[in-house]
Amino acid sequence: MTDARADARAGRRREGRRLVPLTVSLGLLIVTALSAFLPVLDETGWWFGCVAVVAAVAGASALARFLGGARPLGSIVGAAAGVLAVTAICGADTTLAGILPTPGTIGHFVDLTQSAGESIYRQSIPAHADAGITFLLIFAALMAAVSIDLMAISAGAAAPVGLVALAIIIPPSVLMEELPVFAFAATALTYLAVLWASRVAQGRGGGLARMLSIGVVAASIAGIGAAAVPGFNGTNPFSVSNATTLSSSVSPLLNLGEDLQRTGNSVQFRYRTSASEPPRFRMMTLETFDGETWSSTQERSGVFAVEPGESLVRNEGIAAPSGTPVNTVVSIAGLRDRVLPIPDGAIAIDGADGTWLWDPADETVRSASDSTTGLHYTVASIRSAPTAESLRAADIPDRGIFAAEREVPGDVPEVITSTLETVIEGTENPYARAHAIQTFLRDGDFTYSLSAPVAQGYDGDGLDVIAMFLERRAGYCVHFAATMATMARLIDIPSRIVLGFLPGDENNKGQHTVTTEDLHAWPELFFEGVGWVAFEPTPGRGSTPAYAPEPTSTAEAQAPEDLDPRAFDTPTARETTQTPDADTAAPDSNNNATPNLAPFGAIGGIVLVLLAVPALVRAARRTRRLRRAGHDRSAIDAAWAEIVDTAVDLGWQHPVSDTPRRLGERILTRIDEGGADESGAVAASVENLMRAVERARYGPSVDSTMVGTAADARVVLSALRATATPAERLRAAMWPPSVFARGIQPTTNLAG
Amino acid sequence: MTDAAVRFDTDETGRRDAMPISEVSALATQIVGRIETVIDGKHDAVRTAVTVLLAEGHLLIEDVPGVGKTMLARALAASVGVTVSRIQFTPDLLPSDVTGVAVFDQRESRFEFTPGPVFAHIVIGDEINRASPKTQSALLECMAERQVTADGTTYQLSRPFTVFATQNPIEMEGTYPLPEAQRDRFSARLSMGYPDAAAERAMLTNRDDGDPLSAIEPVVTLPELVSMIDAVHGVFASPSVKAYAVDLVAATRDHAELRLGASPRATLQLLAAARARAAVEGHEFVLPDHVAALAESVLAHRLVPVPRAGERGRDTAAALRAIVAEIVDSTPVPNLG
Repeated sequence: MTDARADARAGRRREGRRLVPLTVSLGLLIVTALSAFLPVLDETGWWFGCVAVVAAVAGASALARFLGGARPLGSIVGAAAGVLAVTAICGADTTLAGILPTPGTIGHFVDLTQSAGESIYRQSIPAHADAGITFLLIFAALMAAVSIDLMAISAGAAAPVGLVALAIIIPPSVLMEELPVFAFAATALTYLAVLWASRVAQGRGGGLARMLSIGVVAASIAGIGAAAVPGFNGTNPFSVSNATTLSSSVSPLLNLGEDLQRTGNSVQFRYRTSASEPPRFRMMTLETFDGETWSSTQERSGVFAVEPGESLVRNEGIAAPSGTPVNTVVSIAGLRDRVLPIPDGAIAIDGADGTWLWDPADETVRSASDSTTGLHYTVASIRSAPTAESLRAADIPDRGIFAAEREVPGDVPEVITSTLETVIEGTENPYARAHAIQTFLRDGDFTYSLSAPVAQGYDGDGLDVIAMFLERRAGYCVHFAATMATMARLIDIPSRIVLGFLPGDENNKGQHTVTTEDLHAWPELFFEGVGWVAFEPTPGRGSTPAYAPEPTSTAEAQAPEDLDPRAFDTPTARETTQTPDADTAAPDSNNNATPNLAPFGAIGGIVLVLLAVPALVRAARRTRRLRRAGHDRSAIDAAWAEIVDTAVDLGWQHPVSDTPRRLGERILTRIDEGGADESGAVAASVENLMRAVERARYGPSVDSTMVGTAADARVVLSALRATATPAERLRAAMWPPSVFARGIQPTTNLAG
Repeated sequence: MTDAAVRFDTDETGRRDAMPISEVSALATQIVGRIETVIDGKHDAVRTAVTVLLAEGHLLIEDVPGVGKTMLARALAASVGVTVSRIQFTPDLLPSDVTGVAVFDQRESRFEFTPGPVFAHIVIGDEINRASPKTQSALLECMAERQVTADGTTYQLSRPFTVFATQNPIEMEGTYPLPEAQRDRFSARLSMGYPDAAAERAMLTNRDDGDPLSAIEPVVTLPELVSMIDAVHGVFASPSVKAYAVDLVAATRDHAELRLGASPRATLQLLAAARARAAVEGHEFVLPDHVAALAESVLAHRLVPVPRAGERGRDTAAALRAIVAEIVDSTPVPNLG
């Protein structure tokens, strides 16, 4: 009895020893597959963490089996060791004795997972492997190691572990838009090693052919899987849950900056307008500034619901604006927010479903419950732009009103005040001063850059950021607008920042398209008797209004007619808003405004679609060619072209000097060698086709002896494919070379 | 080529209906078969020779002695039942020995033209490089113009008129190798090459008694041969195939390793030979394959390579054939009608 038990145990030990190579190769498989992530991330520490965890799992399970444990026991021991290793690596602070997990550890891991999600959303490639991402990858390594151990050893099915390796290797391939060749090759090799070790463990040697065939099948599945991965088509799961709208954001300006920095450029809305000049669209205004953040005053009196057909002008104190109303019809596309984009001077809004509130104080429309999604509405507006003369005559409103719009918290950095003094030196008129500030920002040596503030760590809209911005002199609309608004307040002019959209691009049918790139922020200053007046301090974004033009040699403030009216809708610095430099994406301590990975997902999706294009083109071409069953030259030519392309797809040489006869003879030779054509039917078809195409191409034009060829072509095509290896056929189907290069070029001087 | 020329023989036969291509092909195959009863293992050379005959061209056979150059020419002549003459070229051979001479007839008191050996359908010029340049040019003039002018009178040569000239490239002492301009007159050049071992063994078995040529019976009569040649003229060549021929020839003119490319006459002869080749193979129209297959034979002997010190000692003829083959490989075949 004891002997029997001891024997069984000794047997298991022998088995355990045999399983060692398999365990080692399984661990290597995970590690090599994970190495595909190396180019995606900027550090390698996470990878060594993964190696440690995988080693813990593999080592513990191998040891357990080596000591005579049953196969499933080995898996359990391995999993436990892996959990301990993950705990030690990622959550040592929350553990007992540095290794034993506590409830706090689980909470820590949940936090890490969430931060990983945000981090993935914000970063671009190569991303910074912060604690969250590192944890995610190490945890993935643990899960993968345990699952393949269960599969290959406990369940005894080694071949399917390739799918796990594949699942690991596909996301980085998609993110990088290319197959990580070395990682893929190394993974393929270790996969073959797994297959080999699995056979050794089963006490069966050899089987190289079978092993290779499994490898080929797995590679095929990998190829098909890579082409069929549905995700990564731009809908990053994180970006949906995390997307903040301008209206709900704590810091709308930062949010706008982030939106601008995303590399994707999606259409927000389209509109048609009867205005001669396409308008800007305002969404919200920010008038409260606490020194750190500009924000919107949410609770205000005088707000009322927009009713179709009813005028928005109710304030008795202000005379109704006169002039011809301009109609603007807006169709929301991708914009999802709780504020409506509307042109300035709105007097009525029609067709906006839901409950929308009009705020006469800043001429914005918002809703507490409804979204802009899918809206289609018409805005009637009368835009009465002030003239430079009226502004020059205007005064600063009395102290006591616009308290919020004048407030600048204390501790204004010295650089701001000193700069301001230099800028307005010698001017007294408030309008002239405002114009001087705009000119200074717009026409000085400030550069428009989406990436510089992020890279140099001064992104935002607070006072210290403005100070930094004045030193570095590079930033985007948020910085320019915040700077001008702040400076205006310092000289007692009430100011606020408008968030909205530039007019966008017009197509030749009069429709304008506004995209995320048109997101913009600009300051508005209040002048007594004139009202809120927009300025444009951002160089290259939008153009200056007529009453505050850029000083040029010809156009002074007094000569607004000289300005090109079209300039207002031609942002010139689009290209600089494109992809921020990769190195700027490395997050600093405040990684709020870093780009996200979603565009890469979208690009990956597009790449996958593109990858499928050759196969689809090829299939469509084949169908079209063979459907033409006519007896004319073009039908025969098409049938032959299909044969040529199929041969090329299957890897045949087809030099320019190849004639139909030569190719036909090669086909006959190949089919003869294959021995599949016992009856000679294929050879007859090849012969028929070859003669037909020769007659069609080189024969006299009046020729009644042409015959139909589609049937023959089908026979030959299937015979051709039958002579190819499965790998050749797969390549021909997935990546047909004929789509990219046609073997035959026509001669230069074709007379016929 | 000589449609405008006065024809000696066809007028009597009166057979002007075009022979079907299938029949041309069958007869040509028979001729080739007949020649191959005496020339073993040289199918391509034999077929090229027949092609040149049907294209009304002239053939230059260049090879070492004893490989059957003359035998090929004589066997071909014997297979087609036409008049054959043979001129053994020597340094002292005079032009009039080739073309004929006017002899004074004392009875009639006038000069009478005695036709030379060139007045035959097939003229075999053995070792043409041994004759003096003057005599060579007399023959070459006949080849180009298909007529002989003596004492102001022009005598048309017979039709068909084909010269099979042989040349020995090895023994160059005291010879006058044909200058490039004159090689251009030949439609094609071929070299026989040594037979392979099996063919040579077969030759020993078959050929140990008597003159093998004596056993050769003509396959076709003269009128049949003329009909075949006429049928060859009717073989269709599509514009794209003609363009292909032009492309090939033009490529020799631009080739970096060639000092002299092929002439427009070469283009004409290439297409004519391709027509004949198509007919021999039973095609009613010329394929690019036919043009390509003949490019080496028709073009190589006209080309002059740039002098290359590094290639001294290498067989020039082989180098030129390689260049032509390379041109054929790199010239796109027309893939449209």
